[in-house]
Amino acid sequence: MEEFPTLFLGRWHPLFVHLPIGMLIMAFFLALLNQKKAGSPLAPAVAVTLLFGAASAVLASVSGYLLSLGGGYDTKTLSLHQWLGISVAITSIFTWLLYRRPSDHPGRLRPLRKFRFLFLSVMTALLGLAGHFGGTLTHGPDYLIEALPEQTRRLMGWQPKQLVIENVQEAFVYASIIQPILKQRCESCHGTKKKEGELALHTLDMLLQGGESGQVVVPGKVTESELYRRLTLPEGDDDRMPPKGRTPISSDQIKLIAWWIGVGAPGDKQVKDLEQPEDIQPILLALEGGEKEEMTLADIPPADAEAVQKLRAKGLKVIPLAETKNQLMVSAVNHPEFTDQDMELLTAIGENVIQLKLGNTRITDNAMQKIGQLPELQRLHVENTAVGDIGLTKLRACKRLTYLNLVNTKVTDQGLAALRELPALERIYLYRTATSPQGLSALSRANPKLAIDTGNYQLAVVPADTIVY
Amino acid sequence: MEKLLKEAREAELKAITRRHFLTECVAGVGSIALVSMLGGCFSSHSGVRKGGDLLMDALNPLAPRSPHFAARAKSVIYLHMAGAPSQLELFDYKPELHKLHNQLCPQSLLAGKKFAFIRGVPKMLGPQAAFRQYGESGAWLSDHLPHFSKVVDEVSFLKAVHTDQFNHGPAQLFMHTGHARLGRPSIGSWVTYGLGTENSNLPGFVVLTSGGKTPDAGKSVWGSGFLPSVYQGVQCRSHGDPVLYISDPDGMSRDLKRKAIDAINTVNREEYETYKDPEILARIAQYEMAYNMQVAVPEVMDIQNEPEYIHELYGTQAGKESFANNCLLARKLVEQGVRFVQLFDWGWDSHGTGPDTALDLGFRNKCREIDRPMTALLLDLKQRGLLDETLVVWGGEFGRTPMQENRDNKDMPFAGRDHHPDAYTIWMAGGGIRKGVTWGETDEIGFSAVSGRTAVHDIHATMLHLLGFDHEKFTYEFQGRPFRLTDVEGHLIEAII
Repeated sequence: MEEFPTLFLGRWHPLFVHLPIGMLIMAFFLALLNQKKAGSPLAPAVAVTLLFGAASAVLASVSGYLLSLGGGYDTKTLSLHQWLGISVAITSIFTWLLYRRPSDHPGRLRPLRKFRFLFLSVMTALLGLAGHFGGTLTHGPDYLIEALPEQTRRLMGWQPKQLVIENVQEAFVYASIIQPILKQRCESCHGTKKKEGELALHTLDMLLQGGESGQVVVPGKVTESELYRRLTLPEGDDDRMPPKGRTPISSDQIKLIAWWIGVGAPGDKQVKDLEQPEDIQPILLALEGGEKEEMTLADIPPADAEAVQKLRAKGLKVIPLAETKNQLMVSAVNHPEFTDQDMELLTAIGENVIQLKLGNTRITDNAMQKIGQLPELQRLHVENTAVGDIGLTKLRACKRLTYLNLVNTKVTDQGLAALRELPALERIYLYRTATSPQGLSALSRANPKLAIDTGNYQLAVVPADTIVY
Repeated sequence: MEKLLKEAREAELKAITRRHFLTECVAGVGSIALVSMLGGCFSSHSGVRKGGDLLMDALNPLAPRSPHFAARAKSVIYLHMAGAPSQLELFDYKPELHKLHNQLCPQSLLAGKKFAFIRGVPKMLGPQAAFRQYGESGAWLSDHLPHFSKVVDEVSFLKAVHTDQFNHGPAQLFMHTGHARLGRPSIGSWVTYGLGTENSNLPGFVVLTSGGKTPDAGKSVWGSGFLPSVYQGVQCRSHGDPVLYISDPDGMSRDLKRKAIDAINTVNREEYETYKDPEILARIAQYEMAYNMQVAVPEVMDIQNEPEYIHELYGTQAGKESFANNCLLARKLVEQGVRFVQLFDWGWDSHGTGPDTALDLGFRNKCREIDRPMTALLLDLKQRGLLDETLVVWGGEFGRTPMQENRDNKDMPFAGRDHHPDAYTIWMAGGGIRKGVTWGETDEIGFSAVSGRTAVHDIHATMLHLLGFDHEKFTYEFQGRPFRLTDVEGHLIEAII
């Protein structure tokens, strides 16, 4: 193929394309100002700006067409972008004709002059659309929403950025681990929209089929796989993938891909079916963790400042969990005189209290009534207090409670029954309580993932304790 | 909140008179000149990290503050074994080394290496302990730590840690300040600078040493370096006054002390009303803290009231200055909201020069001294629901060679090993650390790392991460540039978090 003049000129498209965008939008705003105040000194500028804009739009259209000849783009998006771009060029020339000085006008266009601002507006709208599809072609369809915060994404039902797997051993290697990596980092150029180098990675068949330079994945042979070679080329190498300027694939992800290729690039195997070398194990484990749920804090409104002030004046510590967040830890470490009555102050900031440390204070079951009204509470310390069974029945509304410290309280088996209804509870500490093995086993039957610690650990005396060498 | 701040600002503006403004200006211009003359030794920072919007009390340098993101660990207990215990007799099981026992070390291992004491060609020294696997995790452990074998499933082992220092002083400094030379803040100071102290009656950073012996690197290992000195570790002792000069002199009653402090604070407050200098507020807070500490510190440092079964668990004896007592104290301090408790034990420098430093004699005595207390510490933290939020770190400043030491190229009378910076073991537990993971592997004789090589900066980065800090953003401006604990290095050890 005669590549030199066409493709070379085509590659200038990304440069040229921004000129009409800037100039035509400029023309639109100048005309808008002129529209408000007729005969302003800005009026003559509109035509000139439009002329340059139109000329650059033509240039951009031509170079864009030449670039498209190189191929590798999603044809549907490409044709939309192409025709929108050409329409922009044509309407901009037309609008320029209408904005020229009246004396230069060919008579036929004169009646249309009334509508010239309308034409200009239509042209600007077309420009916006053409630009959007251009962006989709180069950056992929998810480019913008990918950068949204995780909460917003979840709200809109988009899939999370970070790959988190509930139980990694049960996960399917290709579908749950390898495919999401390729989707995130490769598919914008090698997928349904664009097939650079004739390579698409969005399905396993397409991946195994390979591209222009042949097979990219040789099952069982990592070093012979072009995919692996391209991923591990030194930075700055022209053949390295993803190319310069794009987010690179992390070294852990490369190791996972290499591992998958090494075990034969299976499409239907679960992690537990495959041999897991020692260096892969922690990476697999890390997929399970992701960022822990309780660690990613949502943006919530700040707590009532007056109530916080009052709590602090009492000697309580009120500390935000993270410097830009409004979730609070409240600790009575310096205020052992804390009583049930003081709970009133806490309910005023109820939505913000995530962690509450009331160990070694004078609270009783009455305080638990109020604690039960803290809907967001995740960690609760009431160790060494007079809290008992009745208090535990008040915690039903604490649906997010994960940690509960009841060391040295009056809790018995009866109270434990109330805890079966706490869905999020993960850890409970019952050292020095009057609970019995029967009560505990009933609780752990009701909530099998709950870790119960009753303590009372002892270390038997062994000979090594006393032998002096 | 907004309203309060506005009011405060207005009051402040009213209080600044023209005369004060002029004095400030003169002093200000003068100090600018001074600062440039001194090459920026004093930064313009007030030494207080910015916290969340809700943080009041920003004028008190020890007020509790929030980390960058929600933390998994609230406190740290760091058990440092000064002298560097041998990983080959404790955690890193090398059966191959048995077979090579007493053979001459191959030249390939010696080429290009520098040792502290080994000269010429040393002989290999087989493991001086029997090993077994324990727990569900199957962690290898020597029979020198029979109690610790009960808790291996709570712990993550880093088996291929390396440092770049092979002498105790610099290596200890590196381990605790991230730099082998003097002048940097210790990790405990960084943490206190970042988080303040939760309990306003106790310091945020407490240091306990076994038998009151200071490590080779001196007190700089808990110094505050270029951070304000309020963040340095407070050394507490387990007999006599827990903090030096904490009790009042004869004839000074507590009431009189209160009156004196009240009088001083009244004058200081008046001074503040006139000049609005935040340094005055800091001073008031310090007086109050010192007064409160006089009651709180002796109380928390007293282990006599602990029940007998706790003493049995730890093997503690009230009134002694032992590692066991310090472990129990560490638990009590963390329980009271102290952020960072640093323990130093000593006598781990097993060169084999005498019975005390022989791997089959003195070393085993050291193992006995720490085995029960450190196991008890983990169990006690666990049963109180504290291990969940308390990060426990155990380690020395470097490891020891697979070769028998041959000081001055002569045979040694006892089994001993030289300093070895290339591969050693550190364990971590609690505070968000995975349970039962072994990360990193050394070659078949334990000489160098073959996988999972971990740098000291990686450990620091991981510790800060668990405390809620991004180690790359946690900086302090000094001499014209921001400083980090991890300098320009450090990667999170993902395998164990």
